[in-house]
Amino acid sequence: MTKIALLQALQNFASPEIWLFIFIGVFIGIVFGIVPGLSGIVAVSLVLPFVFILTPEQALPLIISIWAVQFMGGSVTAILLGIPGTPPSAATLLDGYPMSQKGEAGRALGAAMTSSGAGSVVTGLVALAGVFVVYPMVMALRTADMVFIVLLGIAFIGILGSGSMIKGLVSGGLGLLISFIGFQPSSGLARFTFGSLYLYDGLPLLPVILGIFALPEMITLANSGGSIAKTAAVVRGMKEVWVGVRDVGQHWGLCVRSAIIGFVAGLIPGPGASAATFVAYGQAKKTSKHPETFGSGNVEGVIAPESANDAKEGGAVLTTLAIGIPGSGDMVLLLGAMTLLGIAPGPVMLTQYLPLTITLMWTILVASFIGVVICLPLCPYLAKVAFIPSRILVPVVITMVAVGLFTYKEVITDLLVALIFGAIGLVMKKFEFNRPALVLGFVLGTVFERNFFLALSMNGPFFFMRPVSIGIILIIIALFVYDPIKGVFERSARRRKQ
Amino acid sequence: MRLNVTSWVYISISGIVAVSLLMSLRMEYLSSKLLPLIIGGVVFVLSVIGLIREMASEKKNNFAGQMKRDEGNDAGSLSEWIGYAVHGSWIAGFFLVIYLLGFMAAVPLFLLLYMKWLGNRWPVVIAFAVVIPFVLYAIFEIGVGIDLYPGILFLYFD
Repeated sequence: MTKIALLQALQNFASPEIWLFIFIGVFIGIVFGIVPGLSGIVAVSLVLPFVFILTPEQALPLIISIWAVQFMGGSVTAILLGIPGTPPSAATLLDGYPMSQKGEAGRALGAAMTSSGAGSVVTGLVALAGVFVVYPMVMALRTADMVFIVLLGIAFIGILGSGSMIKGLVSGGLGLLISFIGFQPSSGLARFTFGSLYLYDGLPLLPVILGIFALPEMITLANSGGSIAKTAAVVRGMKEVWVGVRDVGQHWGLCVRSAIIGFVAGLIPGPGASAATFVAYGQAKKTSKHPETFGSGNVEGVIAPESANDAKEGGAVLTTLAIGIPGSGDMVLLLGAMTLLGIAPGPVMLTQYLPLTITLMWTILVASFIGVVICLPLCPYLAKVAFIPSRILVPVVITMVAVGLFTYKEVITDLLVALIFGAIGLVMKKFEFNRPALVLGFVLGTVFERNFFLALSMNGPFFFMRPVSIGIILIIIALFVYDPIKGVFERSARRRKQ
Repeated sequence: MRLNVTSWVYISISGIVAVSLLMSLRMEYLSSKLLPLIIGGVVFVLSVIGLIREMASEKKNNFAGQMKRDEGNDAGSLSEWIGYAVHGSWIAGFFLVIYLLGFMAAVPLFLLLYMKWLGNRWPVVIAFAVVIPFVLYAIFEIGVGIDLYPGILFLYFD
């Protein structure tokens, strides 16, 4: 079955259509990654309206390509402008920007692009092996376990993500509550619809996602005004860039180590993806012959985080697809896209949809490789994209959002829903409530309720008395007590020092 | 005791969830109200805990003599929120004009007015106001075959 799946995945790549969508995704990902204030989440949100007119083999590679390559664009601004285009690029900035200040901008960019590509090669190989390791674990899951898997996913994103634990859990819970709006199949009752036919099917996914993610970003960007980028370091020519490429060859061991760290960290839902680059940076400094030069322009400090940055995507995608727990906030949108396409992540991704899963793993590799091939020669010019002023960007993006909202189901009320969730999203953003947790609760709420009542009817009120379910419950409890226990240890360590 | 802005957010969440709990209690079947009650109850309790923690931390700040005027420090100043409201109003107005006049009228109007208000020069504004609607028409009406919403006024007079 695996051989057949591998062949089917290869067959997907024989089609020119997938290459077209990968190229489009790479282009969008690089542009959105470069412009500070925009990001992969906004890019994917804008692409979502078009997802339902594509097949899964077209739509999902498009989304994966955007999201795999955005970090490459983010490293360009981190190195040239001292502004991380995406949050994980903050680790690249630590040595990348000092390098460009020393006149080695081209070398830093060459090293960043090449190690990104190398990281994705490691992902492509390791992720394939990871599928077979994860497969028996996933096949052991039952209906009752899926109830707690959803809660685990919300707990991971809510507790370990940005903002406080209480805010994260409240956000996730609100997402679940919002998912209960509409017709409930088991009772035939319409809940929280207030007599509205529009709400009978529940709140539509796309207006909620665009409202929560895209509109607050645009409002914030418009309010901040101007262009975030002011001046950029100059890349003098391709010769400088090739020095950076050779640096990666000379530090291939560091590159592979960082990629493996990135992949493993990406497997861990929640902060694993964001922390991967900093963990890789830390290990590079510890193992370097010149750790004292880190922070003032050491190329190893660029190679390590960039390699981890791309490699973590493979881990995050594997967790998201196989278990249905998003590896990061961005992965919540991948879940949303799959829901729009009628594909439920979980065990079925390693059985019925195994060729698609393998295709997506390899798409990360292919998209990153294409991104490197495009970005390397364009290094001297890429930073200019970051100078597009917000007064041009914001109206155009808002127009795209409005059109995208309408084309989803051709219902004008979707614009109102997006506006309401835009206001909610803005409040959540400013008061540090966890938006990905809310969207995750919303996306998985139906799955949660269906599995809950199935498990209840099949196994009675003690449906959770299974080893796997109990194990998941214990992990959730551990997440709850992790922070308080960590606080206790830190306080006692401080008292001992005093 | 003065509540900070985050406290009011928790109070709002608690209020909304309390209303949903009351609505759930009135539902006919157990299967329809069970999960809204459980999840709503958990969210309500968490919101109250969050509110208590915010109030405790505010009390601690006041007690320590740190009389920080809460303008939503990390959450932005009043002028920032006024800015958000203004830009939000532009977006709301745009969506309203789409509802009334349709995309092909609303988009150039929005781009003309909003881009000029943001400080772009007239040539740039006019270029975008002409090109973007044309591109949208080409992609959606001709390319994909989706009729962009014509507006309720035009539908009424059709």
